[in-house]
Amino acid sequence: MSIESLSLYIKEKTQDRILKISSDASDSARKITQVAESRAARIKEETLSKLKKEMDERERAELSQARIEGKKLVMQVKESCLGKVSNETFNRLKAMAEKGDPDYVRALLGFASEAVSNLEGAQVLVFANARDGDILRKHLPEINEAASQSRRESVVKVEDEPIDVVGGVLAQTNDGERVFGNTLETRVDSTFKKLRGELLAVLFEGE
Amino acid sequence: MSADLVKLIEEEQSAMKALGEAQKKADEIVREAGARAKAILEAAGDETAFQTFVEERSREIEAGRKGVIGKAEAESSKLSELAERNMDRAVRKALKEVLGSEV
Repeated sequence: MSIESLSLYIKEKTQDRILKISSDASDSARKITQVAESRAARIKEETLSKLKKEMDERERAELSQARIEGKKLVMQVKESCLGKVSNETFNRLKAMAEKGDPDYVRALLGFASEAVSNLEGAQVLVFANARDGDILRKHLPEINEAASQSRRESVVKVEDEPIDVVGGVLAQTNDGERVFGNTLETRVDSTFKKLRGELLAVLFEGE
Repeated sequence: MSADLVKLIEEEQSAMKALGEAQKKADEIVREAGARAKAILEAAGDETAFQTFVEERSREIEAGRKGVIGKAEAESSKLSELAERNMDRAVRKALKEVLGSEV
């Protein structure tokens, strides 16, 4: 082989190897990029999936909390309305008691009769405020009469010392062992416990 | 040494140099690809890229929450109106129970 041929051979071989080195490098770079892009796509997909799940959970929690708040709000409004009915009822009863309304007087005698009928003893003491005490003393025979049907022999006495109530009575046996409260306060309280459902139904009729 | 042989040695040295430079370039191409890959992966792991999605979902959730509360407020308002209208009937019913007779 001549020197020229050998020189040409070296040049061609070198050029081939340079092209191979360059081509291999490009291939490697392309593969590196492809692998990275593929992993990146998977990471993005996983991240998005994780975020979606987190946001869905947050949505469920916040909506659930909002529903609870909403129900609480509605319940508060209902309680508030019922409270207004209770106040208004009490105020009307108080007004009726103060002016000696016949319906109130009749009810007062009923309260007293009911209270003494529920107590047994030689003597039953009835307590009331000064105004109601006067009314009760005037109608003592009627109270005794009503009570005698359900009670053994005993004497009903309206105490002179008034108690601090808006209306109604408090009865107790003379030994103080048994007490029956029938004041306006307790009557209103028990009425609202007993009629709660019915009163709510009346209040929100048309809903 | 003959002139031809010198020329051949120079040719070989030139070839080695060219190959070295080609390898350097190749290494640089691969290194740059590695750096790009790293940047691609870092960008993929960055959750701030999903900020728009998070903000949009947050707005939807807030709207849903406000919707539920708004519905409850509307219901409460309606209940208050009804209660106002039916108050007297309810009071009369309570009075009847307390007093034991119609008032």
